Amino acid sequence: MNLRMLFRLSAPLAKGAVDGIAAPDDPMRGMKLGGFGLALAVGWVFILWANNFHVTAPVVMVCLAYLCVVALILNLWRTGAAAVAPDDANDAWGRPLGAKGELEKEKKTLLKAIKEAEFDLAMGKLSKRDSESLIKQYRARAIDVIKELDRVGDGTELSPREQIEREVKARRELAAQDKPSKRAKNVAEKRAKAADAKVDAKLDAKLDAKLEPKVEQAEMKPEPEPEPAAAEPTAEPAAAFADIVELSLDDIDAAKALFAARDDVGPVERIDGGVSIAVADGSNVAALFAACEHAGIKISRISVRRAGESP
Amino acid sequence: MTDSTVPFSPIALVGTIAILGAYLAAAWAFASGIAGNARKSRRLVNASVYGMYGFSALVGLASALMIYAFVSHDFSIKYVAATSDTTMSTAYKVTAFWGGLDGSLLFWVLVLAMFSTVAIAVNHRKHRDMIGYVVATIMVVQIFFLSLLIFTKNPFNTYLTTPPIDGQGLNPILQNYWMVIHPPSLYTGFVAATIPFAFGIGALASGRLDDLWLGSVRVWMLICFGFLSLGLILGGRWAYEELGWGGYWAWDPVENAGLIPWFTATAFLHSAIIQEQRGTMKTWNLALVVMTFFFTVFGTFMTRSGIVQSIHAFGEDNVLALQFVVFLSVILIVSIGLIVYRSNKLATRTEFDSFYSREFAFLLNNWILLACAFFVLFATMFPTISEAVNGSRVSVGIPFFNKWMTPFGLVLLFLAGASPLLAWRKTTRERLKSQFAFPFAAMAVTIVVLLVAFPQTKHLSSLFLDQLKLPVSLLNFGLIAFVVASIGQEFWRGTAVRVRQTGGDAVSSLLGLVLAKRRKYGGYIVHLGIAVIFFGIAGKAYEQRTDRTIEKPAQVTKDTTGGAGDPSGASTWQFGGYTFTYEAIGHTSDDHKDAVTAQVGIYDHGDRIATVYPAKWDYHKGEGQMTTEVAIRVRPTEDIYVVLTGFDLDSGQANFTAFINPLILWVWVGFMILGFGTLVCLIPQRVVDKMQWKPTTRLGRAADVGSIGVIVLAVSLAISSQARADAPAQSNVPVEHVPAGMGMGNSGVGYAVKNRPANDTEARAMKEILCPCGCARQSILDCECGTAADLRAQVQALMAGADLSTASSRDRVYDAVLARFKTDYGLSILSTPPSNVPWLLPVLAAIGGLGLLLVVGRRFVTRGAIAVAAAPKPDGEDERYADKLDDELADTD
Repeated sequence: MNLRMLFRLSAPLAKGAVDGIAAPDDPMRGMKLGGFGLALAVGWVFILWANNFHVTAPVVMVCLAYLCVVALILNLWRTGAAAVAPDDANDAWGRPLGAKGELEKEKKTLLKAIKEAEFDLAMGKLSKRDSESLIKQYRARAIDVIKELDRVGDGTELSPREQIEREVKARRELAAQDKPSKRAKNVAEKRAKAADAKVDAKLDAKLDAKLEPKVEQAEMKPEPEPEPAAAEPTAEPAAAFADIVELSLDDIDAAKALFAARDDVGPVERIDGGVSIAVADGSNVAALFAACEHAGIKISRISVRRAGESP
Repeated sequence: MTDSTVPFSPIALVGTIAILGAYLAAAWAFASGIAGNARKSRRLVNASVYGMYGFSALVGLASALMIYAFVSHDFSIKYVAATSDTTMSTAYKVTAFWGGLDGSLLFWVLVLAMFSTVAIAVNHRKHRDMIGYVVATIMVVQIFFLSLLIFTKNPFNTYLTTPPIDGQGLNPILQNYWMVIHPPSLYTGFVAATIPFAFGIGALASGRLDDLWLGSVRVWMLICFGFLSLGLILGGRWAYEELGWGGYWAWDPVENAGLIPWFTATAFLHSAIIQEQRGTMKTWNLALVVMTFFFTVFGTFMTRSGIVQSIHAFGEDNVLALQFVVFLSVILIVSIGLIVYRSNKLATRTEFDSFYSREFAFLLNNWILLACAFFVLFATMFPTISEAVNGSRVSVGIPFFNKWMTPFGLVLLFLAGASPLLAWRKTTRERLKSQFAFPFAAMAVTIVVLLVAFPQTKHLSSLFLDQLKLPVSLLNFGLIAFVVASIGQEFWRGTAVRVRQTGGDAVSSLLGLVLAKRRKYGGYIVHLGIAVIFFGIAGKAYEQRTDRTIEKPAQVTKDTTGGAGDPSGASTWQFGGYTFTYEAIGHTSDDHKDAVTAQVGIYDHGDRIATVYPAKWDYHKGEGQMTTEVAIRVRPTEDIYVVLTGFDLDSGQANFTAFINPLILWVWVGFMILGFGTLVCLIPQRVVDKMQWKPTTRLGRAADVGSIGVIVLAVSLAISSQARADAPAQSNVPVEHVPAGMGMGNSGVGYAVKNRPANDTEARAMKEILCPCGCARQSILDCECGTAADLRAQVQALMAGADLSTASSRDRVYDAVLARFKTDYGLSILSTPPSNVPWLLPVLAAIGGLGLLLVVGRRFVTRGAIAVAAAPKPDGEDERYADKLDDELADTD
């Protein structure tokens, strides 16, 4: 009998090897902990008996050494059992930690920030105007986060398409901030002409950074059939710029054919590992993503930039 | 069958097997961890985690066997024979485990194994998408240290020939109770930095760079900070009691090795808050995590490779140095590579709304802390660098460090008080006035009172350069008042707000406030501790010292502790407002040492306030290295510190050095406050949730507060109870005959008092010249050895007859004396580098850093202004969600 067989045969006892020494839901938890404690107690009593129950420094050290030996045997066995346990393809463990954790964290931070601003106002650190402005901003974002959490909590975790859409929306909002009001323009011109020039580049980097994990996630999780077009969110109001969307995908020819047939897509160019497409004003990038999915084209990466900007 | 002449130790055999097994377990955990996360395989990641637990069990086994070998006197093991003997107490035998290089490396591995087991067990599920990488990173560090153990420094190596009957004993200066806990705490601080580093690398490798990992990292960095602080302060306490030079910090390279990561860890603890609050500075925080870990390994490298000269270092070892250099390079390459690889995910848009914001104060604090870290690193390594560049080793002494670190310290002290007063994002002009009025008033009042009541505080000290002089002491006291007032105001106003919000009483509101906002108010307590430590440090400027040779002890026939002694006659001397009487000297002996103990009575205005017993101990296995057992009488305002620096038992002649160390008690008290603040920060939420501390009556609340106060006071008193040499077994010790100079080493009669400076110029020159006897880099003014006495004589001879009437002539003579010493003994004899380079580089770095900070700060603030101006006004709130938010806010404290 080889070692693998031995570990597998002990599978009923090995549940704890995967979920911890004795997971709270393990029906054999008491027995396992009891066995561990018994082995320890028997060994310690024997050591003490052999030393006429004189507790000296060497005896204490031998007892500690014995504890280490028992822990070692236990963990070696758990290591072996874990190593030969089958990988469950549907095991939720392997999926990336979803957006929920991030959203919960963000919500917690925002709640604390609101409380902190209230506290600072009460302590006299913030003026009423400043605190109101801060709290307003925090509340608006917190409500957005709670809304998203509700959707995630309903089991309707954001699909990759929705995530892309969210990112595009966020990008447009950020881009809109780059067109400052008259007052802001004056501030910017006076104080940071140079800094302003780099804002767009940073925005793209930020967007790329946000997009990447979502797309990776899309690969991990089989996506249901795309929703009918009617269910898709309404397109963003027409913006005064065209986007260049670069897609890294597995079937370039099929993608070219697909995009060439669409009215809302401009010239399609082949780039290294994918295609580059010009998107007409108001086009919904998420719809393109859904179309690709529908056609069985697997997208591994998306980046969006303004026309005229360097990639 | 084993040959009877060849030693065989089953402990050594099993211990070595355990280390080898641990090596295999570490390799397995490393490989399966990386493969597990890369392939998203639960079984492999679990196998990696359990492999790591198995590794920890093996290391625990090896360590238990090592200690067993010590306590059972298995001298067939070389390391045991080299660092222990049969006469040592059990506590010191356990201490001997980390008393030498080989054992200290195993101890390092053990502490890291324990920490990583706890860290992984706690975070196993929360960070499952990176835990394999975290385990792998920890295992790489463990594999490195295990490699050192297995290939070069195996503590289980045995003698090939007949082992000695008894061991050589532990280094006498390590046989001090502070040494039992100082190294473990410092090691623990060093080791704790590995956990944040591993999580940082795990986050980079997995690409999961949101704020989740930061929470886990922050706790471990706080633990690292706490233990480093503990290790540093205990090291200072040990030096204060054991080295007998009246001080506690000498900018020794090994002390600095612990201080450098302390600076970067502190910087991280502040900048991590910016990331949590504003979601920015991700790359910076990762860089600080990497730097902290790098500096802990670098510190270990400095201590163990012998590249720096220190009384704490383990000696030169080029092979070990090379191995450390390779490992340090790997750390840098991998860390920087991963940060660059993930730079797109780390890119954040840092915006500050105003310079008058807490985030900008934190940025400034980061710059100062980083400047401190790099300055200390530069100055510590400068002797080694200079030796490598031009072949001559240049010394960098205490004055050099003090001139640079003092201004940095003052700025940090100011920030410790100013940051809590600032709001996040922006503090308006009116709010600034309201917030800073009281602390500035407290500062101004303190300065005025000190100027009137203690004019000596006007004393000018050099900062950066000799020419730039400021009343540092006065500024320091003023800033301490500023910080205390600022923190006090925060607690006062916070409690008042809490009282209004909850309707409770002041005491429960204060406790509720601290528990609800543990990080914030725990941090304030830490700031308060820092201010109190600065208060203690400020006293150092007013230290007084005297050296006396007393021919004979007074004939003490009465009770020596009850105040009936005779504070007059030839055996007495006056110093610092006290009268000291040398009353007796005696020799005692036990299994492992000879002790010569003097008895000195101390009188304050005729009242006997203490009997102290300064002593010299000569360990039989100490190869003539005597230890100084200092006698300290602690008072809140000052320590009276008496050292027996020489004696002749035949004639009864004895030499004493006495110090009056003002305010030094507050250094230790300040640390206790700092430690308490750190613990407050570390209280987990679930502990707070379980606290049902709601006494119903006023009496009950008062009793609770009183109990807490008594506990804190008792712990404080217990910890701060000062050590002194043990009193002799009998009050009137019969004087046994011990040959003159017995075990005197360099502490012969009268050396410390010989050739004392006759004027300020002599004292200045003597302070600048380092004693080459191998002491703790003391100047010849302070060192008690014969070499220092001879060099002082040389200084006096060189200055004899010189014109010292004008400042310029004094400077000329001073320069001439130093030049002569430089010629005769080389550059390393001087405590301040004569070259311009070490002065120039920090100046350029500091100015450059400040300029960069202002440029970066301005840019952040500009961005913030644009964002605020252009931000769309929030729409009206969805009522359903607004209600939900309000509900959640009601549950948030």
